[in-house]
Amino acid sequence: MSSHCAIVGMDLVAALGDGPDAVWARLLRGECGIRPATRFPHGKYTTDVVGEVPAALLDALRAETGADESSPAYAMAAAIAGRVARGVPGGQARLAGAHTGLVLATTKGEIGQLERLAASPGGPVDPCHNVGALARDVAEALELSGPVLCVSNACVSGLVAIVQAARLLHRGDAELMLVVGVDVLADFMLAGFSAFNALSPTPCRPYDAARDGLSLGEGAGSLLLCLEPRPDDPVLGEVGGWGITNDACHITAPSRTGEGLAAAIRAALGAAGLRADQVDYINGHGTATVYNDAMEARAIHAVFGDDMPPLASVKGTLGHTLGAAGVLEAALSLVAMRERTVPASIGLETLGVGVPLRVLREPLELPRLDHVVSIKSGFGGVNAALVLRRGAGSR
Amino acid sequence: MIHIAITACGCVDDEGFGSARVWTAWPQDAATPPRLRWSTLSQRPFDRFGRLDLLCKAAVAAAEMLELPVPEPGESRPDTALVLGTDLGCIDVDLRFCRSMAEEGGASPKLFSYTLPSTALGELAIRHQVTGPNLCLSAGPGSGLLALWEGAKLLLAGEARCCIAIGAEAAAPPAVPEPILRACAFLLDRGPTDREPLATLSFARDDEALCRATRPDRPLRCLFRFATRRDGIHTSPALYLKAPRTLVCREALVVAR
Amino acid sequence: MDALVDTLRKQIVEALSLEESTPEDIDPTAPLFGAGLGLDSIDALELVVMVEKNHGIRIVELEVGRRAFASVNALADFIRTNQKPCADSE
Repeated sequence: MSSHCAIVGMDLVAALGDGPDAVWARLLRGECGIRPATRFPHGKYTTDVVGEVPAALLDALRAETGADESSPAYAMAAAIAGRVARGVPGGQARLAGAHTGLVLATTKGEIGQLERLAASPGGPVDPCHNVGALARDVAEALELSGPVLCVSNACVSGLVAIVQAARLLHRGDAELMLVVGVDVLADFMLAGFSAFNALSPTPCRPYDAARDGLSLGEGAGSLLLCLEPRPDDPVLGEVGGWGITNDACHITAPSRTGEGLAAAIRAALGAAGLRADQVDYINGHGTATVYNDAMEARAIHAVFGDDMPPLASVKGTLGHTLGAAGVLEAALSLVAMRERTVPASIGLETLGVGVPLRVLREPLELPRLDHVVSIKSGFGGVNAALVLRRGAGSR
Repeated sequence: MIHIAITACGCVDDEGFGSARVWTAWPQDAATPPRLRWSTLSQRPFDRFGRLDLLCKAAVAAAEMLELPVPEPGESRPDTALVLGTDLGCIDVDLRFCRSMAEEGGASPKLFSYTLPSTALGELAIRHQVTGPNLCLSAGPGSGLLALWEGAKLLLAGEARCCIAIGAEAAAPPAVPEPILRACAFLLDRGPTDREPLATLSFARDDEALCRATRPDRPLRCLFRFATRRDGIHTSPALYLKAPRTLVCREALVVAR
Repeated sequence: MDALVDTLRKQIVEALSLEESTPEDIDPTAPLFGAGLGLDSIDALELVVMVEKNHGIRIVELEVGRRAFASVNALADFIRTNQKPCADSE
């Protein structure tokens, strides 16, 4: 199975702000983007803190795309994908002229539209938050002529979207593939995760002994993939390989053993031709629920042993960005490789996952940071692991 | 020429349910589409069925027509992938969950667990202990046929040996103006296999697969129903924007009326 | 038979969409979780919502919930103990 492809563009927005460099800088300074909600009532849900994209930034993204108030998911996705399209040598014209496709990752898409219609009495609902339509709208805005689809696979949507884009490239179905992951915070998921008692009342603490639930976040990330970059394309990184499995245990809770996630990691390493000891950094899932982090720790320990690479979760500062997470966190992993720095896992004070785990409380500069494994697990029992390699274009 | 075998197919829709082997029409007096009850669909036990949302019910019911083995404790199928394609997704339970948010006692956790189209894959993974790769996609009308296409391509790429590929659309008013129920499931096998395939998908070219039934007297009702929506014209998964892929079903078109 | 127990059995079947069971199938002395009905963690959360919606009692502590949901009889006792007295009782 051939899996390698080059990443020649990236961008993102999240609670910590606009763009990979700005977000990375704040991440290294230990800033926390999980703050008292401004768009949601306090005291209504089991938490008052969320990782909102700053209002001014959301307004700016709307202005960039001409979206109105009712389409924040479109605004974020189209803006970030548009920047990536314009940022590559040849820009949007090159993408429009080539056979370029789009895979959009999201769990709930433009969910606000459904919420508004649900609140109005009577009458059928127009399925306006159709996620396939969101993908098509973003593709049309960029005049893309290649394959377009949405991947909606719970919290692994982002990673699976990157994988699906790589698959399409390898089949020759496209010359270039844009991947966009997006999810917008809404009462829908706040109410749902509250009903699950899964939210921490304070900013979440991945891998910590006192962790008590996740924090929700929002954002968008985008990557541009191709098989054969042009000489002047910046190669920011490479997809090395992937593994996707299902625990087959429970529709929302993770397995207790972590063997499904371990199998996904091993499959990704195998596809990339890597030994476990060649991995320099793990971008963990780290949602800060009691069970996820314990399961993840077991899986990582099973694959890497005591002498494991350093690990960080960014959800302690960005929150869990759901469908955007896989793409957004992969983009930050590319920055980590460029900077040869493993970020601290914000929110951790005392490790408490039942097995040894090398989670950092301070950023760590490394002489070499060439291989990253990004891992995600999601509702429905699905696990995904992606190997990312340093790009030749990273100094 | 590379062939993928379709070794089983199953379908549940507003006319009835069944497989390539046997088809049962809903009774005359049944609602259209009828409420799905497990005891009508299968002899095998499945206590969870009532809790599933409409999309999961449709997908699981169609998969039941494949007559997959229910595994022994400890058995699993890591070599089998699960692919679901759906245009409407879980819009029905999304709306019901939204309404539960306004109720006394708060939002329903049971409904929330179904507000992801991929939950159907989770239910199937658990029931049949299928632990291979999952893919849940949405690309407008024809998403179901796209699931079949993507499932076959996964096997061609060597990511799995078998694939359960499902297309499902299921929703009821007020989420949609008219009730809709349509789900097809296919069991794909890269082979070699002992089971005589119902049909083969032959990929002579990257962008076209020829689907040929092995026994023309046994129509691929499921493929035909799903691909053609009963109007005799095959529908391509044309939601690859401006780059349609075609699934040519010659024999199925000839024999299925 | 206790009217509250009867009502609870109906409410459990409805809240959890137990289509293959009738209220009469539920033994009021038997455990709800683990064996028997085979309810899971999501069902537990759903029952918490059901109890608040139908009986106005909010279960916040995990341990309280565990005891209350030990069986239908236990749940009936819990509700009787925690229900606010009616303004016009006595």
